[in-house]
Amino acid sequence: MAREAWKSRLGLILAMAGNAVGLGNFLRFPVQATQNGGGAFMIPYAIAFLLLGIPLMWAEWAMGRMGGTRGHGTTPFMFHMMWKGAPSKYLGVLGVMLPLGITVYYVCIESWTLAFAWFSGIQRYFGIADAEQMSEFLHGFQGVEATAHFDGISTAYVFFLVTMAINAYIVTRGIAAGIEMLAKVAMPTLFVFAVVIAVRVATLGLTEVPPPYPVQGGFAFIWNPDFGQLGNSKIWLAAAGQIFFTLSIACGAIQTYASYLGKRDDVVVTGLTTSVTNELTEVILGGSIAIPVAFAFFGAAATREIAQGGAFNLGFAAMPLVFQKIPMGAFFGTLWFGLLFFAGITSSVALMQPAIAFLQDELGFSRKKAATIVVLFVFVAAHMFIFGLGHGTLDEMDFWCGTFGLAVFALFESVMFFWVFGMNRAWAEMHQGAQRKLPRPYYWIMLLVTPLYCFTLLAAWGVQQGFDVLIMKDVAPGDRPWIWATRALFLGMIAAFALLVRHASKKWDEVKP
Amino acid sequence: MMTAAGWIFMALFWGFILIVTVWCFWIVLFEKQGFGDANPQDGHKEGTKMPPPGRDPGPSTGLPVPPTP
Repeated sequence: MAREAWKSRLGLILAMAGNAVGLGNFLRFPVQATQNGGGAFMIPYAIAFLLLGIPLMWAEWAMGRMGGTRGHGTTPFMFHMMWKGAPSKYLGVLGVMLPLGITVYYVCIESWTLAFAWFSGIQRYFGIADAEQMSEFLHGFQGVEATAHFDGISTAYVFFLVTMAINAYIVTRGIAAGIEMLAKVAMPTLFVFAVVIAVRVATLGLTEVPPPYPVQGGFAFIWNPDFGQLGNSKIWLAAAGQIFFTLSIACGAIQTYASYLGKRDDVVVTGLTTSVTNELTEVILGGSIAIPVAFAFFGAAATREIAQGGAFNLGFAAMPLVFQKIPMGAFFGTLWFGLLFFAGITSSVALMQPAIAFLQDELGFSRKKAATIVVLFVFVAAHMFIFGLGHGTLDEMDFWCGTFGLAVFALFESVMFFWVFGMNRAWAEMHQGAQRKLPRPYYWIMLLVTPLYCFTLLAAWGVQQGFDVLIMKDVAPGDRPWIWATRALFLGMIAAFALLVRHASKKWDEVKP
Repeated sequence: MMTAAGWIFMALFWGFILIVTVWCFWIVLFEKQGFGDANPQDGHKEGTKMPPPGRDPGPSTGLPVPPTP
C-alpha cells in the first residue's frame, strides 16, 4: 500500500509549525516564565533551545524521513532500523504512546478554548469583576465545583463533543486533504490573530491601564536577565521541559510527519524553519500578550499569584478580566480564545497521527479504520480527565506524558541516533538532500551535549523530586484512587503498544524470506 | 523598567529569531530544489519537474537518459 505524502513544502512547514505551535506557546510559556522568575527563566530557556531543541528537531526530521522511505512512520521500527537488537523497538513504543497520552487530555483543554471563544463573543463572563470570581466561573464550567454560572458539566461536554467531531473529521481525511489543509487555513489565521492582539497590548494607553503598572513592566520582568538564579536546577528543568513541550519534540510526532517526506527532501532548512517559527510565535508573540497584559492590569505580585494558581489561570482567568476593561473586549476575547483553539487543534491532530500511522504502517489498517480506532480511544479515555479534573488526573497525566516521558524519550532517541546508529551516519543522513550544511559545532553538540543534557535533567529530577512524586507526597488521600487510575492508564497504554509492536514484529518476520 | 541588559538580551533573542526565520522562509519559498526533486517516484510535489512520459527520470548526473523500451 503506497504511503501518503505532503502535497507542498509550504503545507508541510505549516503543518509542522502547527504541530509545534500549540497551547504551550500561549498558555504554558507565560505561566512557566512567571513561575520561574521571568528573566531568570529566559537564559536557560535560550540555552535549551540551542542545545536541545534545534539538534533534536534535526535528528527527528532525519529519523522520520529515513523510516518513512522504508515504510515505517513511527519510532518502534525506526529504532529497530538503527539497532537490530530486540529491545530497540520496545524503547520506541514511547514515540507512539506519549503523543496519544497527551492527546487524551489535550482535547479537553482545546474544547475549553472553543467554549471561551463562544463565551467571549456572547459576553457570557462580562460583569465578573475579579480573578477569584473568574476562576470560579472557569471551575463551574469545568464541573470542578458547583457555581451559579453553570448547571453542571453539560456545557463543557457539548463543546468537548464538538471538538472531538472536528478532530475526527480532519484526521480521517488524511495527510494532504485533512492535516495539510487545516494547517494552511489555521496557521495564517492564528498568526493574524496573535499579531492583532500583540499590537493591541503594546498600544494599551494610560486611559486603559492604571498608572502604577505600565505594560513595559511585563517586558522588563521577562527580559531583564537575572544571573543570580542560574544555580537553581529547578529553573533549568522547567526551561528544558518547556522547550520539549513547545517544539513537540521527544514525543514521536515530528518523526511521523517527517516520514511522509521523500528520501532526498531537505530536513536541515525545513527543520530549522519549524523551530524558529515556533519560537517566533512563543517568545515574540506569546511573550508579548499574557504577561505584559497581566502586569499592566494586576501588577507584578498579583500576576505571580495568578500564575502560581495554575497553568490555565493567566489565559482563562486573567485575560477575560482584561477584555472587559478594554474597548471591543468581546472582539479581542474571541480572537484570543480563537487563536488558542487553532493552536490546539493543529497540535492535537498531529499528536494523534503517530498512533494512526502505526496502525496503518505496521498492522496494515486503512486510514479510515486506523483514524476511527484512535479517535474512539481518545474519546473514551478523555472522560477520565473530564470527570477527574478536580482530582488532579490532568496534571498527573501531563507530568508523566508531557514532562517526564519527554525527557526519557529525548534521552532514548539521542543515544539511539547519535551513538548507536553512529554520529557519522547520523550526520550524513541529516545532510541527504540538504539545502544548507549544518554548522560544524552541532556535530559535537549532538554527540556529547544533547544526550548528557537529557541524562542530567533526568538524574536531577530523580534526586530532587523523584521519590516524592512516586509516593504521592503532596496528593490528598481522597484523590489517590484517581491518581492511581491515571498511572494505570499511562502504564496500560505502554503495555498495549508493546504488545502491538510484538504482534507487528511477527508479521514483518513472516513477510521476510 | 527595562535595564540596558534587558534591552540587549531582548534585542539579541528577537533579532536571532527574526533573522533566522526570514532567512529560512526565503530559502523555503524561493529555492525549490530542496523538496520533491530526485524522488519523482513519490508522486508530484511542489518544485518537482515531472519526467516526460516514457522516459525514466534517470540518475542525477545531468547526462541525457535514453528512452525506455
